[in-house]
Amino acid sequence: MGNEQLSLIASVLSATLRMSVPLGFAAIGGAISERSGIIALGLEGYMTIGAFFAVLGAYTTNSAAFGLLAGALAAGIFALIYGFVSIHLKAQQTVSGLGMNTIAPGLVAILMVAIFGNKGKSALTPNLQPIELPVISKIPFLGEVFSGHTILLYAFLLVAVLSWVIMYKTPEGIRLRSAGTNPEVIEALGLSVKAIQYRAVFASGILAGIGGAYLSIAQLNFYSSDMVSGRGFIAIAVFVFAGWNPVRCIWASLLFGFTEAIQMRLQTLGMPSQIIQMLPYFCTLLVLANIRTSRKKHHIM
Amino acid sequence: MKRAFSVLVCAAMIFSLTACGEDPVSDGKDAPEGDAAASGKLAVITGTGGLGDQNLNDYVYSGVKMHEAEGVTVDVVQPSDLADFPNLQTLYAEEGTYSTIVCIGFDQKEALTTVSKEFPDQSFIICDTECEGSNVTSVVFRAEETGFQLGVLAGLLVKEGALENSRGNNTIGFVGGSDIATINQFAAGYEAGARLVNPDVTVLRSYVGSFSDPTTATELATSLYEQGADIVFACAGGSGLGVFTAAEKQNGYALGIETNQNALSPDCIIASGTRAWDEAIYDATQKALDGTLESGLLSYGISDGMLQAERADSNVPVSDEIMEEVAAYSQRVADGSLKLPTTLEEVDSFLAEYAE
Repeated sequence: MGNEQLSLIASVLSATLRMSVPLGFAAIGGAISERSGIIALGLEGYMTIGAFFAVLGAYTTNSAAFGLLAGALAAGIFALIYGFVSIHLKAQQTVSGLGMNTIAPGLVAILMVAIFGNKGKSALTPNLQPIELPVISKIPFLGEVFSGHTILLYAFLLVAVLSWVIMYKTPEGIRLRSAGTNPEVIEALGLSVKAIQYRAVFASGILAGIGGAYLSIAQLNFYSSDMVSGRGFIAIAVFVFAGWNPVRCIWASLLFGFTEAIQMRLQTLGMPSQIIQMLPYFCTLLVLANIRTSRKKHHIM
Repeated sequence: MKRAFSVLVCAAMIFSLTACGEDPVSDGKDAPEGDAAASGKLAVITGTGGLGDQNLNDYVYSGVKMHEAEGVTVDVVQPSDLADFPNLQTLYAEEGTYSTIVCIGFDQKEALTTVSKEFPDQSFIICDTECEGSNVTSVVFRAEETGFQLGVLAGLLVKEGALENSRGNNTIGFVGGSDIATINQFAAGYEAGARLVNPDVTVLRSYVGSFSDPTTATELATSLYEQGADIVFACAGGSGLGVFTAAEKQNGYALGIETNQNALSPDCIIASGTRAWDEAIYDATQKALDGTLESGLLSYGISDGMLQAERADSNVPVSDEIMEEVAAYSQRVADGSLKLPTTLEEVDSFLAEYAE
């Protein structure tokens, strides 16, 4: 294999990693929320809030790290509104979850006009810088793929593993999963299901918010309207595909990131762009259809 | 409690949907009816991006606003959603006092096709797209001419290796918002211009599939730079901003469009293909005020002096010879001695006819 093909493969894989980070963060958040018994349909909204407040935070403090913090916190608080409506007031979760996706862009549009004077694009802000990994960056192929990403890629892998450990290996994780499947057990233990669910929803907001912040202050250095562009919905497909398992969310988001990265390369080969752009969505459909049939088999057994 | 909260949530949602719109008939109610020409009133319906976008909406609005100095009243409304277009067009048209109603952006076309039929006596202007209707004037710029100016510039720059960070592959790129006729009109002019001055140049093309997804645009542009492109033309509305981010990260060059975008990334953006919407719309609305506006297509181009490959604010050095050559080719388009292709399919036959 020639050098040229190798570096093409490296650049596709590197793009795959970049595209999968925002999906992955949001998907882990969604998985945690779903585990606690709260449907996570508002990820798109959380990401929008995260993307905007990250820019606002970075803009006001002139620090990308504070921006990230602001984006994550704002999205977490925003998710608590959904938590209040669906946990405390027991509202229909599908409706209120989707409602979050409508409120978020509206709220952001108002703030954009108030702060940046237009709805379209914010001012430029500092952004998270790529990190050169010490040894790996020197290795030809591996360096190109794995080095030179922002801290959030490495954080994503860490968060996925940590979430898995917490979910499956700690008492907190057992309580989280029981809150979703057997809430009466939690009640019997004298614990509050609602408290567990609030924590889970808050965590889902924070993680999806980081995913949104990745779009605005890692990939880019500004907020522009509708920039989340449906990634929150793809994240739903990711965590469903991953069976609400944080570590499997890594593989699932990599798969979706890969279809995105590959469609971008295929376009310049002169194939009809409309067909190639369907690829990620087509893949989503295939994956979800496959899940349904395999779950059915599982039930029969 | 629960009920009160749900009312509150509903109110918040309605507020969020309409927050950025203004009352479209704020000051028209008391005006005496039936004297459209005498009162001299114009209405503007912006695209969903709204005013302050430093782009099409602001640009068109400033053109209409120039009439205010002449005592003309200008009313403007900023819809926040595509679904608002038919309602706002109807509201203004029902007033019956506007000399013309200016609708900004191609996404108002569908709504206007229906609404214009219901008000056959009301004149409408739509910007940046062609729309059928006996009372509709479509104001457009010849997109292929803008593409051509930038294509000639890019073709010359990569041919002569004039750029400091050139990768030496004689390759340029194009990132379009969507694979649609309007965008491909730019692409056709771009490719025709580049290959006319530089027959061996490779022109890579890709499409974001959205005009509001700069993240995808940034990845697409990165992939074009990695494939050897020196210059990428960002022809993708709001998504195009992502191309400039990629240019900065990859040490590449970019071309902007519509307004002068050079200041957004002065070390990377070589030039912007500016289109003088203010002048074009001032001209068209003046005709409406005079009562001489005709329906159909009103297209402006290089020959009207409204299209430039604007260099101001860019720090990328380009020799005067190259700019003179771009001007010379533009002149040939203006005087009609070069007939540009408007679709990608026509590019080859254009080159067969004009290549030296």
